[in-house]
Amino acid sequence: MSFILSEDQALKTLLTGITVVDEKNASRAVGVWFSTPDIESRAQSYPYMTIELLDVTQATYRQMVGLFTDNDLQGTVAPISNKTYTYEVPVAMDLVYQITSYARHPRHDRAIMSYLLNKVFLGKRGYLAVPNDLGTETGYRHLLLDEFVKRDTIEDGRRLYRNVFTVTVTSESSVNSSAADLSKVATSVTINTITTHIPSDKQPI
Amino acid sequence: MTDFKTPIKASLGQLSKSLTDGLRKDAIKAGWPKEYANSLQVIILNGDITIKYSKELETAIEDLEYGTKTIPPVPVLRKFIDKYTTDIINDIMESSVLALIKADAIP
Repeated sequence: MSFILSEDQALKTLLTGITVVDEKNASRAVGVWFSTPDIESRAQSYPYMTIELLDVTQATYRQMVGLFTDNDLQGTVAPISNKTYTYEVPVAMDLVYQITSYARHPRHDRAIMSYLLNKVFLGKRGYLAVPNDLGTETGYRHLLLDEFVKRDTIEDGRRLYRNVFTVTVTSESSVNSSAADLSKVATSVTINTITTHIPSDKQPI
Repeated sequence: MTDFKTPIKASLGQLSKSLTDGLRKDAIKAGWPKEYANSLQVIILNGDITIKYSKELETAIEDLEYGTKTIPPVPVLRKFIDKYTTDIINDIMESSVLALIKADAIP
């Protein structure tokens, strides 16, 4: 699995799809963004949530040592018949995230808070489903709620309801990280030398 | 009756001071304004670590720690607590044992 990238994506997947209800809309979607949405490039529509990676620390308290043997390098390469991989136990890491919810409507705020505390960040019993790179298996990580604080404020004379959740996701470094990382990088770029579909008022470069 | 409280309190007082220095350095390193960083203070009470700061700067400090709608968080306090909780518990244990040894309670 690709360390950090997988957890980022899994967390976004987990938080995406939440809806809230109000007098105008019976199913208003709650947006999810990595970091603060850029006001200039994107219309901010309440309610929404942001995901911030705060810290990456080595989890020495649960580090094991030894060798693993499998046939797909922990889900990073397609299995080949009769080929096995032996590698050291990955380094245990903890990822600390901040999830912040923003709402203008008190009912939205309560609905998001209720959903997250009841269904997602279940104290020390939450979990995060993280599929492997091949999409063949899913690992389940601890998703621990470290802190919850209410940070409501007034902005431009209007109430802004904010909830801040600090969570820890248990993780581990990528196995054979060089191979895993390379698979994500473009190794060649093909430039289309024949330009077509150019709007009539534009010139090809 | 041997007095254990005094040496342990003294030891924890020194520990609070060194942790406060460390926390302030971490805050400055993270880019917090000096005024905010220097208002931070680590208190150890009944085995719990608490970070105190001036009431006047409360909103500004918490905005830095948790971010705002337009500014991303610059966490210092949460990272500090995570980093030092185990160390502090160990220090408390150590100072307790030293106090017992000094008082000849442990041969």
